[in-house]
Amino acid sequence: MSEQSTLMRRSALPFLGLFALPLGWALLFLIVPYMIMIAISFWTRQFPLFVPDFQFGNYLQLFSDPQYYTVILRTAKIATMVTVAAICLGYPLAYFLVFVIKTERMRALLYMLVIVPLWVSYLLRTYTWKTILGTDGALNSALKWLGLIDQPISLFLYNQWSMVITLTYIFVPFVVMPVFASLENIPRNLIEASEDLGMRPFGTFLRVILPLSAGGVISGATVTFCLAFGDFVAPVLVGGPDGTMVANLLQSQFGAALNWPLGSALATVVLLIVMALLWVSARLDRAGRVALG
Amino acid sequence: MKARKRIASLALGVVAMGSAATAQELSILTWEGYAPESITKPFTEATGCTISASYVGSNDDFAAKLAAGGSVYDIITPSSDTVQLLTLAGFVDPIDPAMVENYAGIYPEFAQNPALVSDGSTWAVPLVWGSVSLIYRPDQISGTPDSIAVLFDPAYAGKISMWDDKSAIYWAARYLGYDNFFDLTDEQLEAVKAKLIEQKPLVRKYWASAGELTELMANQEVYVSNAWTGLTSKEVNALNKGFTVAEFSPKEKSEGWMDAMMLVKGTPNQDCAMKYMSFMQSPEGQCALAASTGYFPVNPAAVEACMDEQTKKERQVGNIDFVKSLVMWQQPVRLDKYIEVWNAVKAAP
Amino acid sequence: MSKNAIVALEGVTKSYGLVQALGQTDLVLDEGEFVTLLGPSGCGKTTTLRMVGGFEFPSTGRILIDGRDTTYAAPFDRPVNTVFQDYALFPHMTVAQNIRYGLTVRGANLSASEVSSRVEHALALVGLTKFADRRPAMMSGGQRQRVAMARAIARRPRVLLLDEPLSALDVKLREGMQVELKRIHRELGITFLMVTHDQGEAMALSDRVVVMQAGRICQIGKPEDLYDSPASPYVADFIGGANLISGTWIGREAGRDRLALGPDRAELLREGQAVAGLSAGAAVLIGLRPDNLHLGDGPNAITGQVVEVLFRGDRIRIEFTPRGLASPIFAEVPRAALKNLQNLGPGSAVTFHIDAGDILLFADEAGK
Repeated sequence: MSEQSTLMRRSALPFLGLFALPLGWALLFLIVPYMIMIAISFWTRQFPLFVPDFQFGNYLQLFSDPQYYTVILRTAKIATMVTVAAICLGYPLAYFLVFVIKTERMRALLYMLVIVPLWVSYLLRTYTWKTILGTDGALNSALKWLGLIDQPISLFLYNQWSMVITLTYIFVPFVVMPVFASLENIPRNLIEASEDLGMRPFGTFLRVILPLSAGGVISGATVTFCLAFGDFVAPVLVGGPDGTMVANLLQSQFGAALNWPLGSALATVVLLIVMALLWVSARLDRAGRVALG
Repeated sequence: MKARKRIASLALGVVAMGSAATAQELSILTWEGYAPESITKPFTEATGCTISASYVGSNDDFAAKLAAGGSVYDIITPSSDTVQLLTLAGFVDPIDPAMVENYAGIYPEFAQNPALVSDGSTWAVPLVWGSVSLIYRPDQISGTPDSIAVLFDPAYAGKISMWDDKSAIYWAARYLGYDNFFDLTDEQLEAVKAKLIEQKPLVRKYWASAGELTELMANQEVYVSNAWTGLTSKEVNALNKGFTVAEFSPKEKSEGWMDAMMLVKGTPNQDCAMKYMSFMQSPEGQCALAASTGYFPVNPAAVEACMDEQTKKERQVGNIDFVKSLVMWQQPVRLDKYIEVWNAVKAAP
Repeated sequence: MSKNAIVALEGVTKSYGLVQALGQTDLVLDEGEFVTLLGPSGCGKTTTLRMVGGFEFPSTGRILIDGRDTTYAAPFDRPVNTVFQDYALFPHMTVAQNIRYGLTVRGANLSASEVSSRVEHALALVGLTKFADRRPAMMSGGQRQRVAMARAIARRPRVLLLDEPLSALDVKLREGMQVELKRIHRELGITFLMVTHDQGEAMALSDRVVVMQAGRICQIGKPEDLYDSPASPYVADFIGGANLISGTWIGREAGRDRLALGPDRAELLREGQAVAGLSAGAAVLIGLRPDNLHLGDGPNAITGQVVEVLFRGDRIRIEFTPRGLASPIFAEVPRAALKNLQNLGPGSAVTFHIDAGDILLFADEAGK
């Protein structure tokens, strides 16, 4: 008996030593802050600050005042559009890299080119779109030079489309990476088998390649949606008066309004939305994995 | 209840008290353009204290940054309409005016403003003042505008900008003919909100900082906006973009503001802080700030010798009556309601 | 193309850049034949199969299938189907869906009832009727192999291509599947073209075997012909295995070759077809199959010293160095033949003899 406990202690100690740091880190910087946030969401705003309390007024406000759910729905809409656009661009790009490019070196080079922008400051990349889409920007200048327009088109910038364009550009690599990996993992002989069985290339794509890369699409879409949902830079830089997103609302509640309780309630709702999404995504992924064995 | 309050102030206090600036380095949370080398260099030479400056985009940022634990700051420079909030929230310490050289030279209308001096204590020392008027492109706006109405004119749809701030409410209120800007009734606020939402399709972009407005103007994104008098027009015209911008004070009145220096609670750099406040009341400090921003000095005695007569006239030196032509900012009676209304406007589709 | 030829390769070559994978090759498969391409890896057998399947295109020459030039036709445009080496089953589909896949493509033009009857028939043929709704991942290697077969034959191809179909199975299963393959071939009556590196498999299954080496066909023939009359020492060794010993041709009289085995000139008499171009004293390679070496004295006796004795169950493999030779050769004898020689072990003296008709003789190209 005592021998057994010695054994357990002996194996438990290094185990604790190994995981104490990451576990402690997660507890201190992830779990505890979330707990604090959720706790504060029940407090009450009392000018000029707020006091501890336990009431659901903040949540009630979120679901009764249109200014909050309007923004949540708008954010979901924009994040969905960004996700769809990023997949429509990222999937063919990954497909091109995996199936069309023949040499390994060329593939690695182009893959790097897709990924490299991630090393450039996110702010800078967003700002770049402002100079492209602006009234005096590169796009309008080019169209004018081509003689297609004689007055600059102001529709390119400061609206929801410019946000979708910018966020899509920024998040495309997050789709390309997992889709690239999933396409590379498809055994080439499955494609040969499909053609051998009489299927033409497009049918092969629909019935073999697409289903087998669905996992990559799901994880790319999940990451893109979550990142776009939480973005606050694009609305500020390229969004227009109708571009307020959830993160801007949060910023305003924790900043200008100094209403941490309402801000925390909103953040908790966002957290729940994202967690629900991750859960669905994990379920889909697992279903796919079971199907593939 | 008392215990609860203590916990709340503790929670904020923990983050607020980490005033960590080193003894010789003075940390200032202020506006862009308020800490140019023409101020920091002579100040360091005269006192041995160095300055590190951080910047805000709006008055709402001061309380937010102090509440969020950014209180590595020793001095903040909010506008007079925000001074009360910061005092009430307990983020600042009172100031002994006797420690501020040249304090007596400040316009008493500013120095003794009830927002700055309350409960027998002085909470803030005036720094600089100015107005918010309208800036526009004479080559794009027909005629000579004289009214706030130009901000609501569908003829300029997509070419209008507004400051992303609760003060948008004051502008709409003036446009609607209300005069109780800082204590609007619920009905009035509803009308203001409706007006601002109606204006939204005309607005290209709400600007968040003076720099952003300069860019919007310079890149021809917008033709008219409210703006810090002096600053934006000076910067846009200096870019020589092939057009110029002009300013005008609308018949519904421009807004007036005054920035004041406050001492962050428990700062370990009290000595340097007081030296800074004194320096900013000196001829050197007042003239350098006026020159760098285009705003008006608060201490006419200090600028007597270092400013030429033409500039003095432009900067309203000795003309405290000019204030009467302005709507001087005050803290709205129902600040929370105003912010909520402004947020609702921005959230609207 | 002969009357009942189904596949013809005419002057086909294949190069990848500067590397030639397949030299000038002509090959004709007749309808209903089971033909195997046999050779070590890199011999060009898989390249040949892939060109018939349409996965690679010849560099020169042409390929006719059923009289039609299909040299550059896509895989989906050929009356052939392939059983892939590692089966290439679609992991996201059930067994039945895998089989149905090739029946529902554009151009198949099958009614729903025809499709299901074909699926059922294919499943029945490979004995997997009960597994229709399983996913491939939940099946054993042998079962997957059958699914791959069923999927390919459900399309009723004119030619079935099999790329190392049994190589991923363990020995026991492999032998069972060989029988299965043979049965399926007989039942379907279509042409099978198989690639393998396993000569036993090739011999057991094929009507004809194509032995390949380094991008060339060495010999084409029925398994027994290859075994009895290999065209080269390489074929002799590859098919059935042979001890190849350098010797000297002394002369031929009365249909018999007189051979001197090694420098010690132990003489052998061989019966069989004359080898062209030999003159007295010519260097030759003498092939002795281990199976054909019988224990004990007799005509064509070879004596030597045992190096090692390897027990193989029903057979015993004896490694021995014949007198006058530098390196050892192998003999395989039935266990029964060894019963009364209990004391045979390393160092013992041993004598074998071989029938005159079993001696293989080749001109020694290298020794000239």
